[in-house]
Amino acid sequence: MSEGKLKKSYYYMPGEIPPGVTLGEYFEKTCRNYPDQEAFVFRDRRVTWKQTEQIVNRLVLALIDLGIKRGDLVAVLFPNRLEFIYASLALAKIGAVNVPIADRLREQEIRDILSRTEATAIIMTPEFWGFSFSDLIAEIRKDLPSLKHVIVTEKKNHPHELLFEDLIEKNWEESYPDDYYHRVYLEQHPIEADDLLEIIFTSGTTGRPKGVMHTHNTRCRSALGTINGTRLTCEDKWLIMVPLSHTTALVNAFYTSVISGACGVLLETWDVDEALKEIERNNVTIPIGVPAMPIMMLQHPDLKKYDLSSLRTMVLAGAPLPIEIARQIGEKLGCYAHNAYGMTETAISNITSMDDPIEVVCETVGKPQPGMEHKVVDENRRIVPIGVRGEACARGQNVAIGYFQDTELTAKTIDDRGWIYSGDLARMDEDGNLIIVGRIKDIIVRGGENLSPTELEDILYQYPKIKEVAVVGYPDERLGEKTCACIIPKDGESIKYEELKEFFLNKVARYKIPDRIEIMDEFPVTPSGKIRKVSLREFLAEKIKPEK
Amino acid sequence: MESLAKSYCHMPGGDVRKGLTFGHMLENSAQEFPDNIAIWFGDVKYTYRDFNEKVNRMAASLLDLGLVRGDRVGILFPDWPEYSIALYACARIGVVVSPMNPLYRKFEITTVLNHLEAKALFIADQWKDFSFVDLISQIHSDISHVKEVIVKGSTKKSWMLDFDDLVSDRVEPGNVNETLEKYLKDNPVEADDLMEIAYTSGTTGVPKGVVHTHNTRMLHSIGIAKRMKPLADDVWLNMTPLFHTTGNCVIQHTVFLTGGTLVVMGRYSAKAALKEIERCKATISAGVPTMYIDLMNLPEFKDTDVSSLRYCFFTGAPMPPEVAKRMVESFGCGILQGDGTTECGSNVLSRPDDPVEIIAESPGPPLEVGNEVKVVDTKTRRIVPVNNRGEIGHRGPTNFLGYYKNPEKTAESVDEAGWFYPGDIGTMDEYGNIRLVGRIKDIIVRGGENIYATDMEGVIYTHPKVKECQVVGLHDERLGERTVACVIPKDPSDALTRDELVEFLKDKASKYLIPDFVVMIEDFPRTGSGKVQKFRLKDFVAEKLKS
Repeated sequence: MSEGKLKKSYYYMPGEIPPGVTLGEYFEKTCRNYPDQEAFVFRDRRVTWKQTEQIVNRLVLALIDLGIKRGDLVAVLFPNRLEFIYASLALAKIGAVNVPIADRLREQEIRDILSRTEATAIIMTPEFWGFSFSDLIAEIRKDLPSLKHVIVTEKKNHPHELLFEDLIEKNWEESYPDDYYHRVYLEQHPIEADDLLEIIFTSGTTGRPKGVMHTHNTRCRSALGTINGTRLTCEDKWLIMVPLSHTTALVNAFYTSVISGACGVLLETWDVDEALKEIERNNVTIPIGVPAMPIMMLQHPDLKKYDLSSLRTMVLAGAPLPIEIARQIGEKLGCYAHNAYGMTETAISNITSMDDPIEVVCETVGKPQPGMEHKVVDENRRIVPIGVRGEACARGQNVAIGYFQDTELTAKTIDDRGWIYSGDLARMDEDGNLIIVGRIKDIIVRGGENLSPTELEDILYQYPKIKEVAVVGYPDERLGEKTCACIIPKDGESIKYEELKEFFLNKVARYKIPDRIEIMDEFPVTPSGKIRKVSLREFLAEKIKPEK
Repeated sequence: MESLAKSYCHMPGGDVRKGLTFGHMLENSAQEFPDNIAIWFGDVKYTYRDFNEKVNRMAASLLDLGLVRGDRVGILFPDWPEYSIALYACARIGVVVSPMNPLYRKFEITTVLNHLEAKALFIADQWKDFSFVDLISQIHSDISHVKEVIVKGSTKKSWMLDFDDLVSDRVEPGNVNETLEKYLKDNPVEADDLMEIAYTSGTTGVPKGVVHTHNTRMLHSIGIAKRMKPLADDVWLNMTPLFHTTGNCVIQHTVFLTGGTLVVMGRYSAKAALKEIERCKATISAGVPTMYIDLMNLPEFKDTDVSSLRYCFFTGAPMPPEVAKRMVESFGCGILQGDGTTECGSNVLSRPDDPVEIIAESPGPPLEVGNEVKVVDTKTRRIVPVNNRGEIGHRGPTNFLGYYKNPEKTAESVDEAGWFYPGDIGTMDEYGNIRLVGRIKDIIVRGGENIYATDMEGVIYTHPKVKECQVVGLHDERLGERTVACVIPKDPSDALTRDELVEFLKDKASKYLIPDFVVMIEDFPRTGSGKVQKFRLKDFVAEKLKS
């Protein structure tokens, strides 16, 4: 918009991201266009688009044979692996709804997601980092009457399980001949771009995680926006350094590859040595992750040993990018950086441009994707003048259609004009760039994971010795924030950190167990009796200072 | 645009500016075209400069009366310049307008004003021998939210306000801009603020308050202008009532957006319209097909110079191809068809360069502001292949927000993904052109067979005794429904019997298109704008055929 400088904190990015195409249709098109190009890489395993399609098509028929069809909810649980890719694409082709479950979640979260969604199947790794998902599902499946199919990779541990490798090895074309998928299945169950593609559970501010609902339209158009912003082509290679179960990589690396023909190199989990090795080995052009990752790369003692000349840019989200780091990314890693911002509900709603000066890349999160609008509003939801702080809001094709089985939360978060209220404190500069300043919503962001204090308190109340608990965040250099549980024990009880940790291990995700506890006699309260978290945080800050 | 295989069409609108309020739009037009004529009514001509000035004065007066952003106001004018002045004055300060039909009487006026909790009401003192001043006085205690009644005309009660006062010097002219600036500085109007709540008569039941914002209505006019490409020196003759979406939004707002001239006539009559075309050298006309038929049938038509016209725009019904051809020949200009609802405006509009045959049959593809149209199977709700019948859905930035204070009705009509289904049955061709077949509520299910009322009406019309015909369903124990043809005969003394119809249609049409009953009728129950109210006709028939 070349109209000159803005006076009000509202900006519209011109441009059009076309709707109406499903992820399955994009996948088929890319396989037609680039059959022999590398599609995905995991360590030594490399698959072309054609090979990916062959596996996905087998899996599609296997799932159809099991009775899975359009509209069914299916959980997918893997660290970054090729099987996650195959499962997601097969579900998209069938029109089933993908419910990704992060590999760090444990019993309570997994039970909650599977029972709320009434998922008909789960496709998963049997174990990861010493925790057996196989055993967990075997234990809880009696409480999950809808869960009919448990599909595991590598090795079956229980008789009710099906082996993923068996499903993709079987010659399904015999029982489902002549392009059954197009000829019969799609005729009976046509899939449209407004159909649900996935439900992503993420912690908000309330007691239980919210299920963010996205369609083929919202996610594919989101991915197209990122393709536009990063100028992605089929020659690009992503290094996926963050979990595919989360929006950042799922939409902006995985789906963008499916749409553009770019290649996705998977890191099973973050490891700086692995990352540098994979960049060199695969000629990665565009890593995606959080700012802490290039920081660790830059601090690596053997950085100079690696040939990183293939890098052209990186996409960083989730935390501020210090200007010195951005400079070093340019000087030492030889590439640009995109600073990106969004939520599970919007994927990337703002991203800096390659043409932006370094100050804009570091100090702002850039402008909206083409066709999207953003604004900053006061507590009455009115647009504020440029430079004034308020709540950041976004509107447009990226926005989720709502929260699973929670019309109330949906109405509160997304208004009837289509604006989503982020809960982030921000201001806009006169060019229309958004600057994130802080947070309005009561969440803690610990190592890139959103945590709800209410949810953590509810979890802690399960421990019988606790009378009252209040969870607050405190600053941490590495993780951004850490969590502290302020606890008033029941009369006569004493609580040690280790016993609490032991109690919750494997019941909930490790990162939901507080990093420290503070035993207290009483909490500071407001005149109306509410716990004053601000005072708790101050008290904590004082206490932690000398500890350092 | 490549050929479609499925009945889904999206028109990109990435270049279109969002976030423009009606206040800013008129200011821009007044700056760009100060001396163009904005409104022309009889001998009265207002330039954009004049119009903008009056709008500002009225806006300042409304502020002086204590109206604020978000308040609702009824406008009950015939097609007068005062309608536009009142509307744009409200829009300037964020007051929400409800354009009302000057044929409304006690029941409708009370219902609408109370539902809105309207703070003020603009009325004509009297119109066509009916005194609004008297009516409003009578019902004043029934519409207690209404604090101010603003009258255009020479008669009024002492407690009512005079429109001309408010638009001249109620607020000292020197202070008008200051008053407005001060208010707007602290209470700016945003494009997502409510602009209009229009009550639709609908042909399918209870009136609903359709809610629109500046954005939804502005993007609609931007889309109309993008397709039609009007010029600042276009002179638009508006024959459809201004309180309806066609006159209000398709025409009025688009005229002011593009700097053209809006010619209004108070109320349509064929003779008056024909005169105006010549007198004002109208370049674009807007009406329903019947109006154009009437115009061409006027004896004075052949002696009237209509050569200034470049487009005849019509909406509300498809145009029989012979009539379309006759129009193009008689008026010597192009035709354009639109179709819409209060809820979405004219979401579709003809491509001006399409052949006349297409334009006659189809209101065209969606507007290029990012609008989408689709046709879905009535049962599965899935998109059908092109040229297959189904229910039409609309989605886009021109869609309404919902029905005022009626979330249940809104949820019924708009799905989770934002698609609005007005209840039309139709098809989409490979180029994205919609063709309407009828209303979903007009499908009669007789013994498991879907019978489209319009199909049956089409064959009955071919009988020489039939002037007009409407087909409705009648509840039946065994078949579910039976079909009833209600016929207005050309000659009231020469009724048509079912036996005659059966004989006439034998071998001409399938047996499903022969009605079970034939009923003679004087006229159909109609809405204020002349549309047949099938639901009332259905009730009437049920009563009559009870035996």
